[in-house]
Order: sequence, then structure tokens, then C-alpha cells
Amino acid sequence: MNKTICCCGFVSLFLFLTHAYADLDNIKANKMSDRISNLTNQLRCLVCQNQSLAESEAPLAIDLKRQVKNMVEQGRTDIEIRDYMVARYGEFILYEPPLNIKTVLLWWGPFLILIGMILMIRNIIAKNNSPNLKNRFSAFDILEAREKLERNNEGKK
Amino acid sequence: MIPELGNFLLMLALVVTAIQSVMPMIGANRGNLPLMHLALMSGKLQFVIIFCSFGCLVASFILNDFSVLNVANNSNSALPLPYKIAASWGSHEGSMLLWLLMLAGWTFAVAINKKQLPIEFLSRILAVMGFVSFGFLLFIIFTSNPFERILPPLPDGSDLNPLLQDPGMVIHPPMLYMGYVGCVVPFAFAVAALLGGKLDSTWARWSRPWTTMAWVFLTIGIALGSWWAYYELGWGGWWFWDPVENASFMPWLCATALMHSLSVSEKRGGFKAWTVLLAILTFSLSLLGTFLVRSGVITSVHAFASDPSRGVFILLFLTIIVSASLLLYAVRAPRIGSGSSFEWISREGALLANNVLFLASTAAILLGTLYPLFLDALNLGKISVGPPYFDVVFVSLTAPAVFFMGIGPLAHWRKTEISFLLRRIRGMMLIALFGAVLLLLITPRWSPLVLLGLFLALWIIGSIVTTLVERVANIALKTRFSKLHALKKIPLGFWGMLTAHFGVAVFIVGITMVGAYESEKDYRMEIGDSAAIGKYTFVLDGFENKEGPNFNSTVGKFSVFSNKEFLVSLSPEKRFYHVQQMVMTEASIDTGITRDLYLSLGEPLNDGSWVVRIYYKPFVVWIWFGAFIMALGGIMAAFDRRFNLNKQIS
Amino acid sequence: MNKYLLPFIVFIFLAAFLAKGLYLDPQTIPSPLIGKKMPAANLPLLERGEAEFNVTQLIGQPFLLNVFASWCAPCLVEHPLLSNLAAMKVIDIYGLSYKDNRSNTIAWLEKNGNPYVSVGVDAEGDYAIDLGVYGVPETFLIDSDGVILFKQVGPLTQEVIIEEILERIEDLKSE
Repeated sequence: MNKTICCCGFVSLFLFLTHAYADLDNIKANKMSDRISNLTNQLRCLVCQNQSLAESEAPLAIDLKRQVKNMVEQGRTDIEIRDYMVARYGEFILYEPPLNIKTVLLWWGPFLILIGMILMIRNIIAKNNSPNLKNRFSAFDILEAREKLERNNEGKK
Repeated sequence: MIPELGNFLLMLALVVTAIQSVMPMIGANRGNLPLMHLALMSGKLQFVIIFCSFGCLVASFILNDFSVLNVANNSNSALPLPYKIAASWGSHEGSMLLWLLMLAGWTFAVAINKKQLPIEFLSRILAVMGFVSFGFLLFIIFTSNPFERILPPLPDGSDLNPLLQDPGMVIHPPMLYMGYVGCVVPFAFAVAALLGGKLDSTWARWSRPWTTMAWVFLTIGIALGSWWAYYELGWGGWWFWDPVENASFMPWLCATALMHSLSVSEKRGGFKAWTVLLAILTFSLSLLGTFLVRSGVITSVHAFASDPSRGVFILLFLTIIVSASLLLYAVRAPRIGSGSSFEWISREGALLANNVLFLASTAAILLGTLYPLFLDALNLGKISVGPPYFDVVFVSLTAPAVFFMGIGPLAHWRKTEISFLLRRIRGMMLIALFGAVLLLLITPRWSPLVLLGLFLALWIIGSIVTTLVERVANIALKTRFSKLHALKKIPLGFWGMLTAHFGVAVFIVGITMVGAYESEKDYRMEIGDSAAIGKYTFVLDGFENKEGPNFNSTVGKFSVFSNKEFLVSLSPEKRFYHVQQMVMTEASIDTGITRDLYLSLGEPLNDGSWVVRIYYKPFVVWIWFGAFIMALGGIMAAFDRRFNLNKQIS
Repeated sequence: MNKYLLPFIVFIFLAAFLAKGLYLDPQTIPSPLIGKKMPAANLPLLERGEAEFNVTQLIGQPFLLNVFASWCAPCLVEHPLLSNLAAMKVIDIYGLSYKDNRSNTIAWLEKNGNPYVSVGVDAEGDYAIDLGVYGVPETFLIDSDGVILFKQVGPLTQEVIIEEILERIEDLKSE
């Protein structure tokens, strides 16, 4: 019976998503405008510094968007366009900081922290499972047993 | 008079919290009962005082008292009443008072639950909370007094920022602050337990419902903020990785790790040192968030106008609280027992993996938010860290966490045989993979990310169903009840866990679909023009002018057709707010379960045509639905009977 | 060492950076063009409208290039300082009229005084993008080889003129 319920669940979810996908089908990607919006979304507006160029309506943002559009239409690559911006406004304009000696800690830091924590856990587990401790009851087990006993005693009263 | 009363009440609260933070601590150390009971009294009293003080601020706003600087700067006589009330937390000063009110509210809630906790422990908790209140009261009184007067009074105020004149402003900040400030409760529990030297599973059991409730408020607060940004800012984004969003997201991640870690501490007595550290970190991150928003060290949309003295004060206070608690931790933690042993493959193992991944992603966000500051401080130039960084790093750290989330509930405590575990997850793994691939076959464009997202969502759902089925079978086997009867025996907390995990699945479907298939188009439209996106056609019928209470607006009238059939009419607005001389875009959205159609007016062009932005956002509401389902799960878990010690005693 | 002390140590580092951060300005962006050659351009001259404002021809002596516009309020704030500096005759000041209507610029200069040796017109703001301008007014100090030595974003102040500009000019002359 359980399996039937599972199957029904998945089939109905599947049918529902299929229905939703029918909408998606019709929306085709436009390579050129996708590239422009992708680029302008990854460049930071220098006037309203909380917005990307794509979001910003500041006059400079509009000028820069026009530049991006022109360059894409001239067939320049994304890297060339980014370099053009960096040459004028510095790395500040890139929302995605390039990996270099300055940013290596930014990109690899979280993973280094992760590895550090995993190593620490390995030590803890190894220590917990060392042979002389393996068969002992932990303080918690004893506490739990005592609580159970007390509860039983209370029940008897 | 009212502002002076409010001011006086703040001073009074300062005295009460000073007593609350010192006396009970002495009492707890000496075993002096009257001093300990002082904690309960002052805990309740300070709430009443601060509540009245906040009432004075709201009254000043409602009564249009423009001799108060804060009111003059953030309100106007034409502002509608709900926004006048909301304006009382629209400025830095007012929102600090709201922060304090929430803190007092949590203190009050802890103080009236006195039957549950031993008085010695409770008085230490309240003393810690009292100290935090004391610090923030000092901050408010000396650097950010919301009751400051100006002479001569102004004839009218300069109005609330139009961006904030929205129902979202009425509800989002209180919710978010409830969550933010709620992190103080597990922190105070942890510090009190460290001080008392008593860290056992009862401590974890007491701490759990509070932590969960704070997490629930934080979840709702963040989700509301995201939804508000989505419909208000007019460019259809729902998360920007803005420093201030990050500031609220970091405590959320840490609190999520804390909740899971607490469950191990309670049920198995394990991870205790780790759990205490997480409790301290969660509140530290919430304080750090306050610092980031209010000190001006970071550029953000949400940041309040900054004043260096404020930054210095918060940093000082933050340093005192965090370093004191971390030092206390360093001294006391080595004596905390490690709890019962476990192996890699076990429920503890899965929960620990989840914890570590969550903490690593918190670290990633912290690093991304502060890295530009680090480089600048070292004179290494200025960089920006934006969505491309966070998307990559965050997803690669949380995707494995979601995978472990599917395994955790199925593994046994302490030790699980691999072959046994594999047998249990084999079925759901196959179904999830098969389902995800099937779904991909019918998509127009596929990408590895969509495959991953759909797989993870189905994986969680599979895990939920398997867990539930097994639990029912187990209960039925033990009690010889029928399966239906066994279903009723499942505790609320367990349902809460399943519900929250289901929320995650819904959320993942949302972000996957909207990330991969959303589309955005800018059109230049005149009256009578039509624009098409997919099967939807948008026709601009005309414009109307509308007078609001403190603005006038141009409303675009659009008819939307789906496959030539009329679907809905949408009316995005361009509003002009008189007092602040500001133009605001109000998007118009047709929300559906599988897609949102999102329309916003851009700029009018010289020839009478308008730039119109049309967005197609598939499954976008699933993001907030998912978050609310998670919060619902949290509420269910927090109200599990197990945590209600009053009932257990009776 | 006690491993439980680690979180505390990390926090102290963090706090130190945050304290430093209080005294930094996150909004000003250093220009990557400093120490580089001026980008070349041949722009129309304000008075006549012919392409006679040739940037490469300005090179030879140190000079200031001030990017301004008649619609820009902060430009009006720094304008008296520029006029004073021009009167000192220590350095030539050239103007770049940024995204402005020609007659408006001329009227603005007539009203507020003209400290510039000559003014180039950048109606579309294209040359300003090459210069990395992101907020008018901006002022560039260029040495006799055409290398940008210093850039001020936002209005000049007395301090900036004395400490950044005049001092650099002294250095240039003593070389």
C-alpha cells in the first residue's frame, strides 16, 4: 500500500510539473540579449553601488549599458568587455571577483574551513571510539538510566 | 510631554536592567533567593517600561508631533495611519527602540515561564539578557535618542521614505527583529549553563523550543523581506546577496545548525561543547548584523545613515559581549563531557555533516560580505563581491547538506550499517534520479543545475515519505495498533521536522525553476501596442491618473492574454510622492502556482511611449511558500508536548 | 594551545578589521588609470564646436583636467576654488564639459567665471567613460609626460588642493 501511495504522489507531482512546463516551451532564448543581460547583471553600477548596471537607471549606468550593447553587437567577447570595464573603473566594477593572489582566501576560504572542521570531527570520533573507552557507558547513558529508574519509582508510589 | 515621558521611561528602564544584570548574578552565585527572584521581577518590569516608552514614540507619530526630530524626519501629516505607526521603526533611532522592545518581550516571555526552570539557572539567564538590554539602552539614550526635540518645531514633517510606504514595512521589521533578537535566548541559556557549570540534556531540552521559535520568526522575517523586495523594487529579484540581507541570513544559517545540534545534545547528550559554541555564534552574528547595518562600514540599500560614534559604540559593545562569552567558553568548554560515542555513519554523523556544511556556508557569506573591507583595510585595493560569488560557493556547500538531510532521519543513532542504510535509501535515490531525468527530458533547455535542484527536491520528498512510513510501521509493531492509529501516535515534533523538510523541497523547486527559466524583456510601448512573452500577450490599453493620500500616480492599464484568451488585467504604476519629490515604481503581478507575470513601468520616453519591463517568473511563489512551510514546521516542533514541562509535572 | 580559544582569537582579528573599517570610506573607488597615460581623444572645443580640443596636444606641461557640467550642483561648490587656483597661475586648468548642452555651459561659465584655459565638449560622455569618470565633478592631475598622477572624485576642497595638488606640483617642479 505504501508503495502505491508513493507512486501516486510522484505521478501527480510529475503530471503537475509537466503541465507547468508547457509554458516554458514557448519562451525561447535570444542569444544576444541574454549575453547583454548576463553581462550587465554582473557589473556593478558605480553611482548606485547597490545595484547592478542592469538594475540601475542612473545616467552613467545607461551609458555603460549602451557601451556593453555596442560591444556585444561588434562581436567582442565577454572577457574583452569585462577587461574594458576593469581598465576604466577597476576591479570594483566586477561582481564576480577574479581568482588571484588577493582573493584566493575568499574563494578557497570556505572550503578550507570545511576541511578543517572535518579533520576536527575525525579526531573527536577517533577519540570517542578509542579501545579503552569503547565499552564504557557515557555519562549520558548513566543519566538516562537513572532518570528511567526514578520515573519507575515515581510510578510505583 | 509624551516624548519626555518616553525619555524618562528609557532612563528608568536603564536602572531596572542594571539591577537585572547584576543582582540575580550575585544571588545565583551565593544562593541568595530574594536576589534571584529580583530577576523575575525586573525582567517583567523592564518589559512594561519599555513597552510604554515605545508607546510614547508611536503616540508622537500618530499625534504628528513635529517638534520631535525623529517624527519630523520620518513622517508627515498626510501619511496614512498604518504607515505613521510603521514610521516609528522607519528610522535608525526608532528601529533601535523596536529592537529593544523585542528584547524586552523575549525577556518577559522567559520570566513568566518561571515554573519550568530552576530559579538559579533562570536568574542567570535573565541577568545575561538584562545586560544586553542595558547595553542597548545606553546606546539608544546616548547616541540614538528617538525622542530628541527640535526647536522651533517644524510645521510639517519631511515624510517617510516612499520605498517604505508599503504593507511590508508594517510587518517585516517586527518579524525580522523578533527573530534577530530571539537569538539572545539560546545565547543566554548557553552562557547561564556555562556559568553554572551544568550542561546536561535538560539544558538542551529547555533551550530547544526557544531556539526554534526564534528561528521561526527569523525565517518568516527574511521570507517577508524577500517577498517585499520582489514586488516593491520593480526589477523582479527576490534575493540580492546585499550585505544587509546577508547580515540576517548568517544568523539564520547558524540558528538552523544550532537547532539540529540541540536535538543531538538533548537526545544523545552529544555535541554539547559544539552546541554551546553555535548558540554563542548565532547571537554574535545577529549583533554583527546590527553593527554592519548601522555603522556605515559597508555599502547597502538598507543601511541607515551612519554616524561614526554609533559604529564605535556598537563595536565596543559587540566586542565586550562576544569576547566575554567566547573566553568563558574557552575556560569552561574543556570540562564539558563529550557525550556518548558514535560512528561516522549514524544519525549523529549526518547531523554533524549538516552542521559543518551550514557553518562553512555561514563562513562563506561572512567572508564574502567582509572581504572587500579586509582588502581595503590592508590597502590592497577595492573589489566587489556579488551574486556570482555567493551563488557558486553557497550552492556548492549547501547541496551536500541537503543530500545529508535526506539521510539523517533514516539513520540510527550511534551506528548504522552501510548495507542497511543503502537498502533504505536505494528506492528513494532511484525514484528521485529517475523523476529528475524524466522532468528534464521535457524541458526546453536543460542544465546540470536544474537536474541537481529537481533531484534534491525529489530526494527530500522521498526521504520524508520513507521516514514516515517506517515510523508508522515501527509504532504499529511496538504497540500492535493499526497503522492508521499509529499515525495518530506520532508526536507533533516529528511532524514538524517532516513539514520543515518538505518546505525545503518546495523552496528548492522554486529557486531552481526561477533561476533557470525566468525571462525578462524590455519593450517600448505606446497605447494600443502589444508585447508577447511565450504564450502570453500584453496589450497596453491606456493610462489613468490616480490621486493617493500623499502621492499621485500614472497607472498603466494592460490586458494580458494567454493564447489569445483574456487572462487578467494588470495595472503597474509610476508614483510621484509630493513631499520627498520621489518617483516610485509599483509593479503589478499576476501570481500563479506555476508562474508569476510581473509588469513594471520604466521611464516615459519623449515621444509619449513608455519603457515597459515584463518578467516571466516560473514557480517564484514556491520560494516563499517553502519558507512559510519551514516556519510552520518550526512552530509545530516548538509546541511539541515534550517541551511543555508544566504539563509534564502536573 | 587550547583549541577552545580559537573562536575567540578569530573574533579578535575580525573585530580589529571592523574597527579599521569604521575609518574607511567604502564608496570612493580608486582609479586604475593612476600612473597610466591619459587616453587620447579629439573633442570639439566649447567656443567653436570644431574638433580642436586634442588631448594629446595638451601634454608637455603638467595640467589639471576638471570634468564638470552646468547641471551639477557640487560643481558650483568647487568652482570658486578652481578660480582661485587659476588666479595663482601655478598650473593650467582645462575643462571637460560632461553631457551638457553647449549653450548652458557657456552661460554657466559666463555667470560663474571661467578658470579654464580651454574647454572640451563630451556631449555623450564617451570620453568620460575612457577616463573612468563616475561622478561629476572629477579632477585629474596630469604630469608633463601625460601620466595621470592624481584624481579627485567629487568637489575639490581647500585641503585637497593644498595637500594633494599643490604639493604634487611642487614635487614636479623640483625634479
